[in-house]
Amino acid sequence: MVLLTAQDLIEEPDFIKDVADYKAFFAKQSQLYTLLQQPEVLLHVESGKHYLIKPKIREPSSVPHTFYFQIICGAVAMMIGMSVLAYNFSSTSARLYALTGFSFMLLTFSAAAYSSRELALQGDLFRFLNAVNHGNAFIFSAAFVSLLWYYPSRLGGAKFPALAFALGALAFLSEIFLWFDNNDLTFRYPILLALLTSLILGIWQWVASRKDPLRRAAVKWFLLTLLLGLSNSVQNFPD
Amino acid sequence: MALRRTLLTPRFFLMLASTLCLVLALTSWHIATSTPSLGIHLVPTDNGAIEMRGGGLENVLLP
Repeated sequence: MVLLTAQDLIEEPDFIKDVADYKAFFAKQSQLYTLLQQPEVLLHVESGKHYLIKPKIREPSSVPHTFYFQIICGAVAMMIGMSVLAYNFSSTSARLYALTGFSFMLLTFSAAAYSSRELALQGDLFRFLNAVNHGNAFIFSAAFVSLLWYYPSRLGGAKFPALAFALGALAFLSEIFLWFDNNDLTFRYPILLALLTSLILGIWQWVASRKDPLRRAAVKWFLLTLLLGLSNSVQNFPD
Repeated sequence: MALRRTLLTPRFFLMLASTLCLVLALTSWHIATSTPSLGIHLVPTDNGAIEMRGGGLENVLLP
């Protein structure tokens, strides 16, 4: 017998702060998934009544709109990034921009698969998809910070982007092996650090482009997306 | 060298990228539609319980 709680239905396990609860969430997903493989499931409800339900494979029409929204966003980001790269293979900025599009696609596609589940997904698959989501969030952050280092004005040498990707790789390792007991340290703080770094680089780019209206226009666009990303990330932080 | 020139053609590159995108999107859709279903809509409530909707179980609360 398994007690269902509202937490079993959360779209995104990132909202779980404590790593022990995070692991327990995936274990319970496996338990529920195994239970739903049975031909019949007995549902006990608050009033004391029992309902016999026959689990079945999900109908495609029951997939929520949020799934398609995430897939479209990811596909658009990927194709815009690749379109820029297709005509500028030798440009470092174009490569980094394409990398942000590619990682954003993997980030949203993986999230779409698990966030639109009805109740349960096999725990290991869920954990794998969540790791793909986090790993690509780190790649996206490192590529975006590096892009702001190179575009529209080059702010310095290649050591800074190398450091950004090294820190991203380190954050991903801490995510895979769960080095910390708190998901804020594992996932949210590295992303927040990347966002703050990109804000500083955005201001630096703003100052560096003061005599060039074209570059200033490019910086404006980046700062707009940056502020949107920052506000969205901070809003999604649990209390 | 000829292969490299073909691969670096913008049209071919974009075709490759869109194929990859489509394959990954279909993989994601396959995972989403392969999950088991109870045939009812489960809605979390503010007090941590779950309300069921559809399948003749309207407004029934799980403990």
